[in-house]
Amino acid sequence: MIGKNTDRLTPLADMEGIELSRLFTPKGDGAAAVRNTRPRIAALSMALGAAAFVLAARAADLAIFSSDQSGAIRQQAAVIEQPRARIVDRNGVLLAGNIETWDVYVRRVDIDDVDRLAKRLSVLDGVPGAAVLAHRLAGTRGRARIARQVTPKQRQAIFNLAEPGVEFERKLSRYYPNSSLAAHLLGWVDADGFGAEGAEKVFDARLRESPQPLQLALDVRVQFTLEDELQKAVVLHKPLAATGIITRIDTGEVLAMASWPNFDLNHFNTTTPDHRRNRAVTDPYELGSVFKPLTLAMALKSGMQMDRIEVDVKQKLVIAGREIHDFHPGPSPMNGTDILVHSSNKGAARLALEVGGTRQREFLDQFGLLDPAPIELRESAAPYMASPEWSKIKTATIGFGHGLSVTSASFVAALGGVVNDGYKVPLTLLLPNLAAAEPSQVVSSQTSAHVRKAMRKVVTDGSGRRADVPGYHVAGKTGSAEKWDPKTSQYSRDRNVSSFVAVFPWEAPQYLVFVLLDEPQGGRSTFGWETAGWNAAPAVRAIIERIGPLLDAPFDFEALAPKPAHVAQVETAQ
Amino acid sequence: MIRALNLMALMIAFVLAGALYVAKNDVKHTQARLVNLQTQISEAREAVQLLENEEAFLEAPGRLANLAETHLSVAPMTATARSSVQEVLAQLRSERHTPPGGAAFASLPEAGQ
Repeated sequence: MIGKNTDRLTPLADMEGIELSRLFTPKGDGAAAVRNTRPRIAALSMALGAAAFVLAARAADLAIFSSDQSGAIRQQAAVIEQPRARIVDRNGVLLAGNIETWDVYVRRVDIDDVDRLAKRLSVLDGVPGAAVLAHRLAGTRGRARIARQVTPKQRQAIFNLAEPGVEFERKLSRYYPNSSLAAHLLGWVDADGFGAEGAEKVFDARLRESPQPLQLALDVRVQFTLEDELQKAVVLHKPLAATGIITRIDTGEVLAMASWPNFDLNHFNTTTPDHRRNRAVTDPYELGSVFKPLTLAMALKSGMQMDRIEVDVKQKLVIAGREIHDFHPGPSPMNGTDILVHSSNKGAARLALEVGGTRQREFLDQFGLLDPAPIELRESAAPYMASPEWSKIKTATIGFGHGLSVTSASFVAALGGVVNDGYKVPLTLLLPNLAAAEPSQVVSSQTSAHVRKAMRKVVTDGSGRRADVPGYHVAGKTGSAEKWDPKTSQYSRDRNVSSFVAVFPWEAPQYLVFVLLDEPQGGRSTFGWETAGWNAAPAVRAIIERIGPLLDAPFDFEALAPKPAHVAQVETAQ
Repeated sequence: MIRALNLMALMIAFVLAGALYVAKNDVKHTQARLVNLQTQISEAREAVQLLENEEAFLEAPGRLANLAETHLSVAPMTATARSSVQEVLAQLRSERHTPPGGAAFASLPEAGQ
């Protein structure tokens, strides 16, 4: 029987006189194996140690030293997504803002039946047709964009299809709450958000860099009135095109600028370039008799005395084999005011000839009529002359507004300078007038006053009577210019450009209104006439009557005829 | 002694590392909160912009003109419809003395009262 050993075992290491190394020292082949293994173990340990060090260093770097990379990325994204600044009118009314839209993508890998998906999507608003869609999807392996800038409503409709491969990418798009109002002046942005035309293009850098709204000089109420009355004139007189401009004379601020045909800014790409053209700054016209106040100012500037002007208009005026006629018969001799009131071509031509071609050219140049209109818009077009030669016939015809085609904006800037005590001020879209340099006086205050007085006479006694608005002291000038017919190489008898320029109050003008109708038709309301006194002048009258109270323009209550008692009673009772 | 100092230095290093970690973590959380707030501000701004777009659309002059003409029979004012304050007061005073069909203006004060 084996007895129970109760003695405690003593560890070898504690035993005296025993060397462990000697107890386990290998000998022979074993010793060689151990010697070979040690360097490997050491190398492995070093490798593991180095890896641990690298990991620890990286952990410390992440925990202590590294910056917040995700935050930086988000900030970068925020910078990219900074919305384009809004555009507001002079009273802070929104003209252009941003709305959330979505681009729609399809992941090709998730689509089994491309044709079926294309058919389902194509019936929705904002998505291309089935064939286009199928072609687009078939031609890609990754992600294909099938629609851009869809609205929340369109997005929901696509979402409701519950197609697995459809994805949406959010983006901010330009939105114009007034649709077509001031469309030509505002312009639009391209699909990538860069200004493509109008103010959006001119101020593109400013709109992208600063979040502050861009304030224009435009007044939405005045703009609407101009477009409304222009539309009425278009319906009534059926012109090919029409333009209108309203400015503040002393600062050159453009309160309204319109062109017809018009278009909806939110769907600009569905219209033709012809509709999108801002005719007020792109289309030069021979404006005709509205040039005569400029000719009178030029004559006075050249040294003629207003009370000594006497022009014989009875005699034939033939230059280079071409006879110049007067449309309205008038007295002879004519003074400066008569030339405007009776709109005498002969009178204006003789004044121009008296001044001479060189000084006429200098005068027109001083008022910027030989350059593109002085306004920020890049589409502003240069004037047009059939030949560069400044002949005697050209001097005469430019005197009454033929031979030199200028844009409406150019003319408005020039005449604004004449009536503004002779101080020329460039037009501007901005408020306040940042572009304004020190205005230069091109004609004297006295000359300016003479011209204004003569223009007032046109409205009270001449061809501009239908532009008179009681109380506003309107001065103006009609222009009915026959259009050049390239087929016959002659001026057409039945196609003209009809325009009217008005300033008010004439004693110290604050506002200028200009309306132009390209080839208006005579109708019942005009007794068949196509001239400015019958179409452009009444349009200007209607505009002034409506914008006067909006702009708080000076109003002369005493100019109103006393109302008959029964009318006053009815008005009071109402 | 050296062992004690080493131990103390090691402990201080650990404490500092821990404090730095906590501080860094706080900053991270604050940054995350900041980003969150910025996102909220951005969303609120977009909502405000949307409302401004709506407002501008609803107050578009063309739209208001149509509504005014259709529902209120209101038309743009003509120049001849304008009257000075003196004219209006004079008219009202005359109405007061000879009321056309009611006493609506009978209690009007004289001008300047």
